[in-house]
Amino acid sequence: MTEPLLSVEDLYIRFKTYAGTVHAVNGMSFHIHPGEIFGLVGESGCGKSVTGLAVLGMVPYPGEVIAGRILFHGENLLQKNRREMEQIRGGRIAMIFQDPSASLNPVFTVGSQISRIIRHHRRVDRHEARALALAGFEAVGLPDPARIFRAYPHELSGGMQQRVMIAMALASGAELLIADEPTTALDVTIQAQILALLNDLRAAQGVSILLITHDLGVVAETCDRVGVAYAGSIVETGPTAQVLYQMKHPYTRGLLEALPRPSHRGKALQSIPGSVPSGLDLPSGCPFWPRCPEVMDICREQKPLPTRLDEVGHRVACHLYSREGQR
Amino acid sequence: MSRWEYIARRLLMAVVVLISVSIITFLIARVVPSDPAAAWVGPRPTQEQIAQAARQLGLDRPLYEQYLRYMRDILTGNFGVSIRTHQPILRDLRVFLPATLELVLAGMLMAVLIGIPLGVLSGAGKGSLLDHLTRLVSIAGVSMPTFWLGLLLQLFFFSRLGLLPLSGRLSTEISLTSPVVPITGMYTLDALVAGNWVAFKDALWHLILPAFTLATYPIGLTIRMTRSTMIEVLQEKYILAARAAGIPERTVLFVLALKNAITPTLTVLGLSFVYSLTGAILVEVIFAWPGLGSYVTDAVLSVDFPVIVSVTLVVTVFYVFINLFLDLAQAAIDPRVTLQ
Amino acid sequence: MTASVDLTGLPADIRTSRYKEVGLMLQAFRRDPLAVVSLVVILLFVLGAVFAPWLTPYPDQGLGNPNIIEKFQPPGPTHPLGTDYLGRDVLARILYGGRSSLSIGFLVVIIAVAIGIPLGAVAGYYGGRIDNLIMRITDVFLAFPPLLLAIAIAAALGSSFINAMIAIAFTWWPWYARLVRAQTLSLRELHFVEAARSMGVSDFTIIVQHILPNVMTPVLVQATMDIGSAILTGAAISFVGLGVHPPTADWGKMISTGRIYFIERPWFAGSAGAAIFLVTLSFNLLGDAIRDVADPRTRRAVS
Repeated sequence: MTEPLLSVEDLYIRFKTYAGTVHAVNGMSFHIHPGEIFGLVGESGCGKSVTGLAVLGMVPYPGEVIAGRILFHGENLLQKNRREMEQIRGGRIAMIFQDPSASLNPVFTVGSQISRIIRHHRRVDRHEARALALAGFEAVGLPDPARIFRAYPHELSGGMQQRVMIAMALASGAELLIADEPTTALDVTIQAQILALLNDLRAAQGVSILLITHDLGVVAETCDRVGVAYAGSIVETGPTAQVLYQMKHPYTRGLLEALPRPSHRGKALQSIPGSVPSGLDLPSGCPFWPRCPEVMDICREQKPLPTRLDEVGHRVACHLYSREGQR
Repeated sequence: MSRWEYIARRLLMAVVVLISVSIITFLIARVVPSDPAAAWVGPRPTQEQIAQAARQLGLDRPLYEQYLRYMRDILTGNFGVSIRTHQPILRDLRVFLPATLELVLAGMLMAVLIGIPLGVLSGAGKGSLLDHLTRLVSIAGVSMPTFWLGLLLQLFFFSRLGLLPLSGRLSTEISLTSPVVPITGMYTLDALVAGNWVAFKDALWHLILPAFTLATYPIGLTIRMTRSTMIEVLQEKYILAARAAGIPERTVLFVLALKNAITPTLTVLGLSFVYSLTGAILVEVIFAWPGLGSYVTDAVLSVDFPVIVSVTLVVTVFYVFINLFLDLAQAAIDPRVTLQ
Repeated sequence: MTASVDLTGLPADIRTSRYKEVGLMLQAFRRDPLAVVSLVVILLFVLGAVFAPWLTPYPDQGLGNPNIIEKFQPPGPTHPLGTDYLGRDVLARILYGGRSSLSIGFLVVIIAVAIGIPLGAVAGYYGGRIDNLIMRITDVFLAFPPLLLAIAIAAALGSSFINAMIAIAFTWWPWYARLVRAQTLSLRELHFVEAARSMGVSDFTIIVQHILPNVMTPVLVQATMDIGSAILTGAAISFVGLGVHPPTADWGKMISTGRIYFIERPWFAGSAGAAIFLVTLSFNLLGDAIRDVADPRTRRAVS
């Protein structure tokens, strides 16, 4: 097996606030191979977005990484200094966000924004940067690149704006793209186009993608592998087919049952009882036990470790499958 | 609304304002003072002298006719004659206006160079020591009576330290040995253009204290406005996106965020410019700076109406044009302005 | 049924808004100790001006009687702030000077508010041609540099305390007209105003009972900050030789007469300048603190 492009190992992030210490990420671990699309899925507040920012060294104040490693090509990003991170960000690892219209600076033309990023990462002059930008626009399927280059963000549609964001992210030849809810703010038809685009780009440019989303539909359509996050750690991970169709963890099952599906027409929509625990006071043991329909005594005391289920890498962190749980 | 439509409307508004301004200054000049003709003749006039002066000044004509004559005079550059000196006012303005502009422009330059960076940094480091210090300085700046600050600075830099000159625009011996040939009427600029380094340094030294005194209020305003808009802009998603793209923090703050935050600051700078034009009145008196302010205060003391009104009119016209310019500049900076 | 409309259907914060301002002040003081200090400074100066005759052993000098024998005394035990060029006790002059300088600040703002509120409310409430007319008038007034217009008007009216006050207030009201108009415009569309209108309540009653109480908060914030600026402007007007006549004490005048002696004998112009600075600073800090609790937008930016 090849060495992973990115691996996040046992990451802990906390926020010190006046209300108390919020444990946002608690032992998050996953890895992404070159050319792979990995989906990090979970409800809001599960620590998935903070993890994405942590990869770029941008955990917002007053948050801090207190333990763990983030290895990119085997190098720990958490030990890089500010100057080194400014080269990696947008250069080798790029990120796009949920709301493309808010992610573009309204008082600069699209062209000047993308040129600035290209020129920061590659030592090229204005004309070369423009040529690269136009090529980038073409690669993400934008019509009339020259017009887009001159346009202000508010003159573009939402779908075009997200394509521009993707072009910006990849313009400097990024190997890894972190996409935080890239389609949530868009219309359904545009969503599908953007997801197809991400797929094409992976094929054409070999870029790996960390797709952060709450939408299992998006995961099913796009991702090679998926990790389900709950309360700041991964509860189930593996190839998309295994996790979505042979799910093991009660939380994953709950998420899937909460999806509206044609086969369930007429039945009431299921939802997981209870609510996501606040990072302020996490339950002891497995963070999911207060909501789990199959809770056992051990779940209240001991946090389950990931158990390997098969040869393709399907793992689950649940005492139903752990050695401790079988006793 | 298209950009051109916006500009056209803005220009039309400026014209309307200018006409209204001329009417008000006219009313102040001709109607409010109890008897302009008596003021013209001087102390202890006879009835005949007053009547003759009234005819001479056109005061026996109907009001609208007086206004039209007044407008015609103004538009042809005839601001009338000073009651005190009996000199044409236009000639005086040509000397005094550049002096005031030099002072005001130097003050505005200081406001931009000191106020904007301090505002950006204290907005970026909200809650830091620098932020608290800046807040104190900026509030003190807008609360300080300029004339008092001027006196304090004189006491400190001239009397105690002996670093900077007390008052005036140029030392007497410099004006004799290497005089400045007026081109623009701004001594520092004229000396620079002529390559007259001795006079340039002397004029610059004379300029520092009054310009700084004048700049304290604009600096305070600029810091406060820049700080509060920066705090808002820095929370925007596009700032996060720019940082995620690896753009260095300095560029994020001073280019990407500042361009979004600059519009309210520009408005404040425009207000400051006008404030400075009138604030210069007080500063000029303190520093014996021969500009419009000294001119108008002398006029106030001798109830020299034509001068007071002319200065008011000239400065107001400046004000209107500055505001016009600022609105157009905003439209150029922020493409969304014209859409509103 | 005109004036007596049942208001019980209104949200609580609208009905109690008459007491909201007091609450805001108290909240501002709790959050910001600097605001308390500012208020104390302001009160000290106001009380000093009111009770000046009892506070100084030299009330006649405060009123202007010269005392040439003691001229240019530096600060010392008998004259804590020294004496001026006519030998008058500077502390007494400062206390008495507060009478004109402080009252010009308060009066200017009161007059400006009194003109600005009705005009702004009418413009905002009726809209259309009346609105347009009033707003174009404010445009013209705001087109003048404020201090210069005040000087021109004061010079035209003749130098006196009342005229200086009128001149400054004349240049100040448009700000309040605009502020109140903007607030009224947004209130006009609210349900309780529409409801009152549909019940046949007269426009006058709606404006007075429903709209004005809700515009008082921003007006209060603006007014607090403006008193400081009005005092500064008043001082500037008397500095250039308009305003009160000697021998009446006035801070601006004290600086203008004292400045020629300032390098050698800084204490009398210096004390007057310090008084203006302290009072203006206090009003600005106080206004700042009130605005921070009144306006959620800045509150977010501050906290």
